[in-house]
Amino acid sequence: MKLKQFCLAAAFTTFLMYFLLMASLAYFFSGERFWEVLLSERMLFSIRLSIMAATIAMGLAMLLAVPTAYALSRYDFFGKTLIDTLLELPMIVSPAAIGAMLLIFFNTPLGEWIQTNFQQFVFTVYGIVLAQFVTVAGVAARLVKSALDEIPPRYEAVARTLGASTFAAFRTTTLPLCRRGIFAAAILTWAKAIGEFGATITIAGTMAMRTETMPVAIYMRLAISDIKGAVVCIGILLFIGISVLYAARLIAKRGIYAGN
Amino acid sequence: MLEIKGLCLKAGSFQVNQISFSVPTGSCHALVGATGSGKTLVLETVAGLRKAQAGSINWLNRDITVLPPEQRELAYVPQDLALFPHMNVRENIEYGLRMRKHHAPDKRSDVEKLTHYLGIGHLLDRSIQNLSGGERQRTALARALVPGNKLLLLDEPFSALHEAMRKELWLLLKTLQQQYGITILIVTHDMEEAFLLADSVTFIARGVVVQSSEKQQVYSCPANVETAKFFGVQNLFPAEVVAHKSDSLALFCPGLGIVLQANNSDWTRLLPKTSVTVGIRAENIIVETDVTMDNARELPALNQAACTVKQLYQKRKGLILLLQPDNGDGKCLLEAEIATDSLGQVSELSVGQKVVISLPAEQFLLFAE
Repeated sequence: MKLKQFCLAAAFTTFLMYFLLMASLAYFFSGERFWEVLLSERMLFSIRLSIMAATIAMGLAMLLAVPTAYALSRYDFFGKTLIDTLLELPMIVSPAAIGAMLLIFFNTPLGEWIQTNFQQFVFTVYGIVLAQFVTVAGVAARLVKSALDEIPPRYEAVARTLGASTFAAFRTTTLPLCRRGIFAAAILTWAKAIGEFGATITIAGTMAMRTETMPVAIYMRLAISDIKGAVVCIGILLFIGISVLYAARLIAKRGIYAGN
Repeated sequence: MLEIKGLCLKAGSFQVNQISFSVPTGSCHALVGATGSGKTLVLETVAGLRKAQAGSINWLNRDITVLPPEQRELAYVPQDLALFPHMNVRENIEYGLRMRKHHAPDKRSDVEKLTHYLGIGHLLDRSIQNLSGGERQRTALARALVPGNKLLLLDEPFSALHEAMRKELWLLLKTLQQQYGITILIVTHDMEEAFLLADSVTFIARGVVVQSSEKQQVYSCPANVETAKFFGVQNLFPAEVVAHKSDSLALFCPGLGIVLQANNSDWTRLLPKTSVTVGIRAENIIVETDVTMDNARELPALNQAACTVKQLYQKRKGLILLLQPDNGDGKCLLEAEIATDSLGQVSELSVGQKVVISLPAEQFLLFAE
């Protein structure tokens, strides 16, 4: 088998695997149940909560990711390798473990002090945002770093000799040149946050109309053998995720977020 | 004046030590050296893009050693030019004005004047991606000079251009320098570029200054074998002092198999049996085809050797001969260059032919080991 045929076969196998998984939803799909579940107050709450929590978590993650990625991409400093390695922590540690670590943290004196004097996180919406933020922050920084690594530091160096401050040099050269990469990083971060389950359920629990995000809703419906309801939830989650990714690709293709 | 004193810096495991030289205002100074010698590091430190470990950099009597790049008031053009790809030509050129918040109409007219002068006035709205190599070069120069800085740092700016374009830009830069009174510090490994543009030269090797002086001085009296090689002394061979008089020196060269007489009173301090390296430029070797060693002995000229032509090839300015001395140890291969206008005299040259070379005593360079 030629290399091209082998690679194409691998690509179609990957597609087929995901397609079969999505197509199998149709087996349990019920049109009547779809509208009933979709328009229920509980489902609309879950959709709103998921979008809101994922958007806040993504925003916070990007706020931290851009300077973190910039430091890792542009400077040499003590502990750089350690920080770089820890960015992958959410990828190598199970999300449930991340959630458990958060729970453990809030049972330490510092965590209890934060909960008492600042904000209650355990079993609240804030806990969902925190769980999603912790899970995606490292990934966001890694993605932004990849985008920054593509831009030669020389542009900023020249900008500085032309009178730009360090921040102005970044804002006028590197940032516009990698905005497409940063935008893609933000979209992927958001998509990962909206699908986050393990850490969320560990710290925020499964309380209908309180901490029930879309993935939690799927789990709760499966727990009571409501397969048709779970299929509707999965379908909605798939629709939101794929639509956002597709729109992002379209926008990038049109050049709205391109460098020129 | 740009004055660099005792500059030391480190980049990874590479150390640049005690770099000192000065560039008078309005002149051009070339930092030359082989790849990896540290010349670009020095330039970047002057630009403020690297921190100096020790030493000082003064520009117009102002100590700029620790100032950030944006406060140094100098212009810098890196080797890759680093034109901003998301901006068009005008936006690139006016970048320095925007950053320094110069919005005065006279500054705008400066842009028009300079771009017209550089021949890119008609390209201002064009994308950077659609420029030729020469146009990119001119845009980078304009961008660097528009803010009005009088010290221009160039890091091998013309290395990617073809010869004709390079020469055109050398002349343009020279005129620009005179017209705007710019002081230039240029990094190059191109000897021709250094000699055409610069008034003085600093040769750097392994992070230290080997020689720093007027360009003619570096050309005629290179400090050591390394500098001589860099500045185009193709023929360097070992020799031993066999005798010395008040105004001349006798040297035995195993490679040539003859005793050479060198005329330079500076060298007469060299004692017999001292090992030296003798250098002579290819263009200074006289090749004669119509003499044999028998009649050559009767000629008044000294320092003659019989050679066999091993290879010959045409270059733009003349003919290059690779010659093996007949009486040498077989390890020495001399390079001689015959200018195009003298080619008529040696038109019958071919590989394997016997010739006689004369090495003029006053053209020798001598390096004691």
